[in-house]
This record gives sequence, C-alpha cells and structure tokens, in this order.
Amino acid sequence: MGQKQEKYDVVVLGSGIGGLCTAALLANKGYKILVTEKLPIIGGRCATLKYKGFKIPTGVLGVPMAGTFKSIFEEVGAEFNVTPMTVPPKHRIDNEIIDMSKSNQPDAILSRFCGDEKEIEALKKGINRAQTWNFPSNEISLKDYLNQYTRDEKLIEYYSNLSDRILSTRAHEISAREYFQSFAGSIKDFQSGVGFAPEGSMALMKALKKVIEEKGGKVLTQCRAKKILVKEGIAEGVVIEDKKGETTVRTSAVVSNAGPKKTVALAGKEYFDKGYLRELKNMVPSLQIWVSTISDRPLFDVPLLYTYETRRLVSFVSISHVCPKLAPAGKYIHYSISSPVSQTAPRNLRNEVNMHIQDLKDSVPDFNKYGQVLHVGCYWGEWPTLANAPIVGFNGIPQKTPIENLYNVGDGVAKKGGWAGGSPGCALSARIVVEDIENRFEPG
Amino acid sequence: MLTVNEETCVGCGWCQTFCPQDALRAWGYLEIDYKKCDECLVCIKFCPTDSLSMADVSHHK
Ligand SMILES: Cc1cc2nc3c(=O)[nH]c(=O)nc-3n(C[C@H](O)[C@H](O)[C@H](O)COP(=O)(O)OP(=O)(O)OC[C@H]3O[C@@H](n4cnc5c(N)ncnc54)[C@H](O)[C@@H]3O)c2cc1C
Ligand code: SF4
Ligand code: SF4
Repeated sequence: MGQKQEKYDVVVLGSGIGGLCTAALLANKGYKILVTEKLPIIGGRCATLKYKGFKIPTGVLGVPMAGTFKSIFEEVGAEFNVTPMTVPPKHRIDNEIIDMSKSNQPDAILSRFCGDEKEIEALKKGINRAQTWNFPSNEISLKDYLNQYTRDEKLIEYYSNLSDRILSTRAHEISAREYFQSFAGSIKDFQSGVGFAPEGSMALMKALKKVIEEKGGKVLTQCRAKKILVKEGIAEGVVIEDKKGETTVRTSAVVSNAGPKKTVALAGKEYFDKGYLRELKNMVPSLQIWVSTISDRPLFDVPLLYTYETRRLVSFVSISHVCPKLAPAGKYIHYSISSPVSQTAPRNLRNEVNMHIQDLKDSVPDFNKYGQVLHVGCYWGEWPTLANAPIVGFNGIPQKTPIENLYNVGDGVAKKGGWAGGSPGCALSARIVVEDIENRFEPG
Repeated sequence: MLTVNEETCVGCGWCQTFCPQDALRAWGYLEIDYKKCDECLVCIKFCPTDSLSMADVSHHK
C-alpha cells in the first residue's frame, strides 16, 4: 500500500529506562536496533523538564550508586554522571526536626516513635524473621504482619512512611511478601547510597541514546508505534508513524516499553489469554504528587527531610544543596512528595494537592516566608508513579507475553517472584529480556 | 479551541512547561487560560497521555 519497509534485529517501543537499557545492551552486543518514541523528548518518566529557568524531574530523581542500573552504563560504556548524597537526611517527628546523623538509624528513629523498648524489640524480631527466615504471605498487608509483633500504631507509621516513600504504597495496602522481597531484591541497590544526576536524570537517558547511536542503532522521537504485527502467534514487525507517514518495520523481536496494557492494545487482544488479561486488570498504578518550590535561599539546611504523621507529605528534597545547576544562579529549587492514604480508594486530586501544600506550610518552616510553588505534577493512571504497585495479592506480570518474541520492559512488569520498579527494577527488566533474546537468536 | 480530555489527563503538568504563552496550569487537573492560548499546538505533542486536542477548527481568531 505504498508503505515504506525497513528491517531491524529488535524494535523497542518507547524510550523510558526499560527501553533504552534494553536497546543499549543489545546494540552493544551487535544487534541492529530501532527505538521509537512517540513524544518529542526521550526518557519518559526519567526525563527533565525545563520551566522558567528551573529543571523539574518527570519521575526518577534518586538513583542507586551501585547495582543493576549502574552496571548497564558500565557495560555499554555510557557516562553515569551521578552525584552521591553524602549528608544524612533529617526527620520531622512530633513537630520536631531531628538530626540522627550520629545515631544508629533506624533504631534511634524507632525510639522517637515509641518509648517502650520491649515493643521495639518485639517488632525488630518480626522484621528480622521476615528478612532472614521466610518472606511473609502475599495475602496479608505489611501492617497485618507487623501487628503480630506490635500494636503500637506509631511504630507501624514509621514502616508505612518508609514503604510509601519507596514503593508509594502504605503499610495497610502493601503486600507483606512484596515489601520484604523488594527490599531484599531490586531496592537493595539503594543501600549502596543514593545519587542525583547534577543537571537532571534526562542526561542519563541521553548517555544511553548516545551509545545506541554510536553502535549503529537509531532512536526516533515523535515516532509512534501504531501496531505490533503478529503472524501465527509470533511478533514479526511494527507499524510506526512519524510526520511523514507510516512505515512497516520487520524484526526478529519486539520489546515494548509502552506498558503491558498498551502492548495488548497494539498487538490485538485476541492474542492474549483470559488469565493474562485478568492480571492486567488487577494492575494498580500508583499516585504520587510532586511539587516543585522555588526560592532565593535554601528552604532547608540538608538535602533530605522525611516527614511523618502529616496529612500527605512524606519527603522534602532540598535538591539545590546537591545539584545547584537545577536552578539559575542564586536561586533554589525543592521537590516534595506526597501519596494518597490509599492507592485503591477514590480520591479528589485537587484536595490531595492542597493537603500537600498545607503540609509544606506546616512542616518546612521557611516555606511560608520564602517559598513559591512553581509546578505541581500528579503521576497516576496511564502515566503513573509505579505502573504496578505491589499491593496485597500482587501477582507480577512477566516480561514475556503470550506472543512469541514480544516482550515488555519497564515498571509494569515484574521479576520472577517479586516486584521490581523504579530505576533498578526497570533496568532489571531490560537485563532479563536481553538475556532471553541473546539465547534465542544472534545479531543480523 | 484547545480541549483536554478530563478522563485521561493525569495532571502531570508536562504541557504547562512547554507552553510559550503560559496559558496552562496543572493543579491536580489542568486549567486552560483561553485569553492567553494562541493555539500554537505545541502542548499537544508533549502530552504523555494524549489528552490534548484542538477541537472546532472552524473557530478562527
Ligand atoms: C514523580 C515520580 C518520581 C519518581 N521517583 C523515582 C526515583 O527517585 N527513583 C527511581 O528509581 N524511580 C522513581 N520513579 C519511578 C520511575 O520513574 C519509573 O519506574 C521509571 O521511570 C519507568 O520507566 P519505564 O521503563 O517503565 O518507562 P516510561 O518512563 O514509562 O517510558 C515509556 C515510554 O514509552 C513511550 N511510549 C508509550 N507509548 C508509545 C507508543 N505507542 N509508541 C512509541 N512510544 C511510546 C512513552 O512516551 C514513554 O516515553 C518515579 C516516578 C515518578 C512518576
Ligand atoms: S501533559 Fe497531558 S496529562 Fe499532563 S497535565 Fe497536560 S494534558 Fe494533562
Ligand atoms: S496551544 Fe500553544 S498557546 Fe495554547 S496552551 Fe497549548 S502550547 Fe499554550
């Protein structure tokens, strides 16, 4: 029908972390790669927006200083320009800001929450059992699990806050198994320390793009995947569309970074069994709200403040202390993060934003005097914080789809036997898919 | 006239950062200031959820 035809070893749909990590690893091994991105910029939820001279993250802010994500940069020879955060966070508990840099965290924090040493010891026994003996059930929440050891609500609040910050799901909703498994698995990478890209995380995505192009691959923006072509249950191509029109691309494997639901829509529902579609329906994309606040002076004295027992706010990042280039000279930018109480119950977004701002006023003393809200970003639904939050009953969707040679990467898919999201999880999904592709066929 | 699909817009505020006229503001949902919008179409291509479109092409300024 007058359409152009092209041929690549692997076509990657979407330029998020999962897509670009997959493409860079494969290009480095000699595969001929095409990445198509529908938006004019690459990176997805690991990009950087410029606004009134300031830089705002579209997602990823902190990345682990070691582990799967970084290892991919090392393997392919991409620049991993990340500044580690060296100053420990402070905590706001009971209206007081507490510096625990000299004490043994989290023991010292727990004793701020509860004066009863016996309760803390009982709780720690439970945590230790989950970590060293056996992961708890997937059918109970973290709160249910901890309640077997303590009824102290304030102690549970500490773990709820931690879970919320990292997995955007609170203790009463997160699967106890997934909580402990994630901390033992993909999130463990963060134990090596957290770092920030000095001019925004998009630089990391650009470094991967550079490698892909140097190795002969192509990364096209404003180029949308319209259809995944399937023949006899096997993926054999993609129809892509740019300003000039449609092109049919033939390929040995299709890797979708567009999210498992969109992958189904692109290939056609008829190729996916009922069980698979039911799992997709059970996905819970999580909401976080990120507010960017600017000022002429830093609003807090250290890079990170964790806030407990607020309406919604969980952390405040005074990022200019670590990355001054995210704001124009003499100016400062801060990012603050909140989640709803529940990721599954109905909510009013405007109220959620207003509660976030109210918490900032209450928790960050200088916010009222010098702070000015620059931007409010809500991430949920089709453009979520985490595409599949590990709530009670969580059953991850694997990278392989029912269609042969069609894979998913990104935070919508899980590692076998455990949740995997954020930068380490998306990188891990890429590693799993690349290994499979390598085992199935050679470049060319 | 620029329209936002309220069913799919998440309020991420990407569009706000690309608008040359400062006509957009996300606050949990998207507000469009029609007095400022000059229908340049820039924001439409940057929306990650494809929620923006230009409806009613017969509407000339
Ligand atoms: C506000 C926020 C803060 C976060 N903070 C952190 C953090 O500090 N640290 C951390 O590790 N993680 C963080 N996360 C999580 C992290 O951002 C995500 O897990 C990760 O970026 C998701 O990457 P992905 O590989 O799933 O791809 P995505 O980022 O979802 O990218 C997918 C890409 O595919 C494109 N696409 C979709 N459909 C098509 C199509 N039909 N054709 C072509 N292209 C298409 C999209 O435009 C997009 O660019 C945060 C997330 C959010 C939202
Ligand atoms: S970019 Fe799209 S989803 Fe985001 S606020 Fe604008 S219209 Fe809504
Ligand atoms: S069409 Fe142009 S002027 Fe109007 S809101 Fe979008 S970017 Fe702004």
